Amino acid sequence: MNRLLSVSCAVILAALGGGFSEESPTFRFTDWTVDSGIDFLHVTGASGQKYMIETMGAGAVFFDYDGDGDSDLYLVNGGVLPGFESTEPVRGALYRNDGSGRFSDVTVLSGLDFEGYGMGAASADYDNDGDADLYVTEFGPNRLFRNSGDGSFTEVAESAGVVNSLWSVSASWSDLDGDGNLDLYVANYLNFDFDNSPDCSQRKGEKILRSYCLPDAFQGVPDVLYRNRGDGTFEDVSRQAGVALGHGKGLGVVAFDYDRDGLTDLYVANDTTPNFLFRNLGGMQFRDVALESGVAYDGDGNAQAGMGVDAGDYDRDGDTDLFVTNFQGEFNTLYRNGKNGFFTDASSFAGLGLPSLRSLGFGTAFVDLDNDGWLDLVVANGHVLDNTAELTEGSSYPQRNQLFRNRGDGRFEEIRSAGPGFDVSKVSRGLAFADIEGDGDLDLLFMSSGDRPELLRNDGHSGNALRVLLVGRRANRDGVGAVLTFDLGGEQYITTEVRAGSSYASQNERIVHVSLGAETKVRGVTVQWPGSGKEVIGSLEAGELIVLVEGR
Amino acid sequence: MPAVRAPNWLGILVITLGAVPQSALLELRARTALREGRYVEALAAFEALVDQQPDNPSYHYGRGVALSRLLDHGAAAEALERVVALDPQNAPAYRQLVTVYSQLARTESTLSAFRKARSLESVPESMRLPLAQALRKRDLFEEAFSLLEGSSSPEGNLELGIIEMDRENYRKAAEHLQIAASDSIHSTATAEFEYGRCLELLGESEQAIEHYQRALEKDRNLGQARFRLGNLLIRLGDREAGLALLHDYEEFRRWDRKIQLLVAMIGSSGLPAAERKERTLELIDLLHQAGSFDEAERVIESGLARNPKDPLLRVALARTLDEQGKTEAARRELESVLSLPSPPPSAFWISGLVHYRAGQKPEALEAFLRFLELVPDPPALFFKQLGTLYAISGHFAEAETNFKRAVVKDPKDPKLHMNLASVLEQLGKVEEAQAEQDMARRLEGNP
Repeated sequence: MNRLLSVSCAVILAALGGGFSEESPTFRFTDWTVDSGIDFLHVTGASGQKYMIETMGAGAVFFDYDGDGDSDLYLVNGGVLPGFESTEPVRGALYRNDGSGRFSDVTVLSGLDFEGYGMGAASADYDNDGDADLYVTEFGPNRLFRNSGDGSFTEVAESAGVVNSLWSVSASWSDLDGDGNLDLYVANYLNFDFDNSPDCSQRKGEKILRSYCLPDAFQGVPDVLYRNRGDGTFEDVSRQAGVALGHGKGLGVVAFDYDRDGLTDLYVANDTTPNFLFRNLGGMQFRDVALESGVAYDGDGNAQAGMGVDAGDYDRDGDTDLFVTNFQGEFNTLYRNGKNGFFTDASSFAGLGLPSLRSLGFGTAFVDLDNDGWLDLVVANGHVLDNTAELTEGSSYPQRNQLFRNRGDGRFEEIRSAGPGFDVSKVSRGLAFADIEGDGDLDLLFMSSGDRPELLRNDGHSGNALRVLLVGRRANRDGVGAVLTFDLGGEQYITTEVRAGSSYASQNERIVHVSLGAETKVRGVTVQWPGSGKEVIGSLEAGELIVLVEGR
Repeated sequence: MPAVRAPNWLGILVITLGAVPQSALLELRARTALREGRYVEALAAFEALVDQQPDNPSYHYGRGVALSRLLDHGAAAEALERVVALDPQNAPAYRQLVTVYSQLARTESTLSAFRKARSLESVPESMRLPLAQALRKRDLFEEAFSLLEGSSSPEGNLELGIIEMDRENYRKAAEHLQIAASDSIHSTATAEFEYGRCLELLGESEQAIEHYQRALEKDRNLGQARFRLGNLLIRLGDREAGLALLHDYEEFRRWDRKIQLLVAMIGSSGLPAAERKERTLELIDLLHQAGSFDEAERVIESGLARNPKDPLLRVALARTLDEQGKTEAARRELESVLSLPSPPPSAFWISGLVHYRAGQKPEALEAFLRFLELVPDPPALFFKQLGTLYAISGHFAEAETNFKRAVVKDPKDPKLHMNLASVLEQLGKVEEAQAEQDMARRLEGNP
C-alpha cells in the first residue's frame, strides 16, 4: 500500500508546475476601508523605549453583536505606554455593519470605550443567552464583555473569573468538555514588563541601533484554560487539564477536532519554542501530542517562530489540516493531516515554502476567496523590527500581504496581482474575514501595527456559495466545534468546522461559508454537533443565509 | 687552471638575512600562520603589517581572511571592502566578500560581490564549492547552480542536490544526490541525509529510512536525520521506534539550542567582557562534552583573538589539543600557563589528565594533588579520576578513599560502584565489595 502511495506521489511531483500567477481575473480586492466608514488608527504607544509589546498588536473580530444577521467588526487597539503621550484616549472600536458593508462607530454606545493595551479578541455566546459576547486579550488584565442584548456590553471579567493578567495575545472559545458551555483558552506569550525590558541594541558597522527584543530575551509564560461552569463564571483548570506548560511562548491558537473523535483539541503556535497540540482525552484532560503528531516542529525538526494559525481541510479529504505563519527566513508551515493522527510538513510540496521565506507572517486564514470549493490561503505580513531595513539587507518593516490560490491538486500558487488592495506594503498583524455585504463572497480585514486597517472588498468573479448559521440547543448556542460535511454529489465533499478564534489574535465571522463553484445546491449536509448528536439534513440551495437549529 | 673557491654559503646567508627587512619576515610569518590555520597569530601579524603600510591591499586581504576564519564577519567585510577600495580589480577579495556577506545575511551584497568577482576572472575550481554554498544560503540558486553545473564529484553533486531541493525540484535533486551518496563507504553523513530527505519527499519511504540510518551511523549528532527518521517511522506505523528517536532528538535539540544561545550571546556587541568570557568558557565546555573539539578550537581561537593571554582559554585550548591527539602542543600550552605566578586550578587538572593519558603516573598524581590543594571540594569526576590513578598505580587504600568520596557526591554512577568494588576486592573486603557490585547492577537496571 505504501509503495502504491509512493508511486502516485512521485508521479504528482513530476507533473508539478510553476509557483505563482501574475494575473488572476478571479481574485480582485478593492480597498474599501474609507468607503466603509471605518476610521480607525492603531496606536502602538511607542516612544523610542522599544518595549516589545509595541510591535506585536493587534487583532480584529467579525461578529454579529446586534444579532441582525450581518457581521459587525471589533478592532483591537494598543494604548498609552510609559513615555508616550496622547491627547486622545486610545481605545478599540466597535463598528456596526448596516448589512451593505458600510459601518458606523458604536464604541461609546456599546460601552466598549475602555482604555488598556489590547492585543486580540474572540467572541462567542458564552452564556448561551442568544447574543455574542466578547473577550479582549491585553498586556495587562484581560476583559470579558457580556452582551446585554440591547446593543451594549458590561465588563464582567473579574466576577466571571477570567482576568488573566499575563501578556495574552490570542484566545479561542470551544466546548472542551461537551457540556454545552463554551470554555476559553488563552495563549499567553512572554514575561515582559517595563522593569524587565532589556536593551536589545544591535550593532551595524560602527552604529549601535536600538531595537525591539526578540522572544529569546524573555521567558515564556504558561497558557490558561478556563472551564465554563455554566452559571456565568469560569474556573482556571490549566494545571489539572495539563495545558499549563511553562516552556511555550504562545501567540496563535485554534480549536479543532484533529482526530475526529468528537472531542475538540487545541493547537497553539509558539514563538521559537515547539508548538503544542493538546489532544482532548475527555473529562477536561489534555496531553501535548505535538511531537508524536508531527506538528511541534517543521519537517526538519526546527522549532519555528509560530505567530498565527488556522485549521482547514485544504485537500478535501475529510480531516482538518493546519497552517502556521512564521518568522522571516523560515517557511510558513502547512501540516497535512494524514488521518492516522500524524501530520506531514507539506509546505514545500504544496508550493508554500519558498514564497514565504522573505516575509514575516502573522494573521492567516484558510478561506475560499474565489468560490471554487477549495480553501485558499491568505497571510498578513509585517516585520517586528521597525529598523529591520537598517539591520538586514533586503528586509523591510512593512511587507506585502500574500494570497495563495488552492489549485485543488495539493498545490497552491501565489497570486501576485489580486487587485489594488493587495498591492500595498504595511505592517500587518491580525487578519479576519467575513462576507460584509452578504453578496456570497468573502472579504478580508487586515490590522496594521501603528496604522489604519485595510478592509478589502472581494470584487472578483465568483462561483456560488452557501451560507449557513448554526444554532445549538443541547450543544452550545453558537454551534462552535460543530463539524459540517457537505455532500456535493459525485463522491465530492467539503468538510468544515465552526470556530471562535484563530489567525493571529483575531476571529472570522461565525457563518459557515461553503463555495459550490458552478453548482447551485448541495445534496445534503451532516452536522456533528459538539458534545451532542449527529444530524443529517437534505438538499440546500446557494444564496440566502440558512439558519440550522439543532434538532429542528 | 685557477683554483675554484667554494662559495662561502655561511657568509652569503648571513649577508642575505641581514638584508631581509623586518616587514618581509613579518609578512612571511603572517602568510605562514594563515596557511597553517593559526588565525590569531595571522591576524596579529597582518594588523602589524597594515599599521606599517595602510594602503597595501594584500595586507588588508590577509587580515580580512583571518577575521573571517575567526568568525568576525563584520570586521572581515570591512577589511575586504578596504581591499577592493584600494584595488578594484581584486577578484579574490570579491570572492571572499561573497562568503562573508552571505554569513552576514546581506543578500544583495553577496550577489553584487559574486557578479563582480565573476566579471574579473573565472572562478578557480577550488573556490566553486564554497562560493556555491554561500550563494545558496542566500537563496541565490541560479548563481550557485551555475558554478557547479556539470560537476562529477560527490561534493559538487551534493551541493547541486541541495540547491535543487531548495528550489523544490525533487526529481532533479534525486539525480545529483544519488551520485553524492552512491559510495556508501565514503559518502558523508550529510549526503546520506539529504538523499534520504529527497527520497522521503518523493514518497520512497523505505529507501529514505535506509539513507537516514546510514547518515546516523556516520554522524550520531545529525539531529535532523534523527528527527526525520523518527517522524517517518511513526507515519509508517512503527510508533515506538519513532517516538524513541524523537525524544532523543528533543534532548539533542535542547543541547544544540543552548549552544546556539551561547554563540549568539558571545557575538552580541552589548555583552560585558567578563560575561562574554564566562559564556565563552561555558560554550567550550559544552562543545567538549559533545566531542566537538574542532568547533571548540575555533571558539577558543576566537576568544584568544580578543584576550591572547587569558589563562583559562589557554587551558581550554590545551584540553582541546589533547583531545585532538596533539599532546605536545597541549603540553606546551599548559607549561606556559603553569609558569604564570598564579595559574588557574584547572591548569593542574588538565595537566594531570594529559600526563595520565600519556602514562606518566607520577606527574599526573602531582598535578592532581596540586589541584586538590587549590580546590578542596572538587566534583565527583575528579575523585573518580584520582581513584582510578591510585588503583592502576597499585595504591588501593588511597583508591578506596577517593572512590568513596566520589560515591558520596554521585551515588548513582554504576561504574563508580563497580570500580570501588574492584578496589575493595583487592583489599580483601569481600562483603563490602559484593555490596558495591550489587549496587552497580541495580543502578544499571540489571539486578
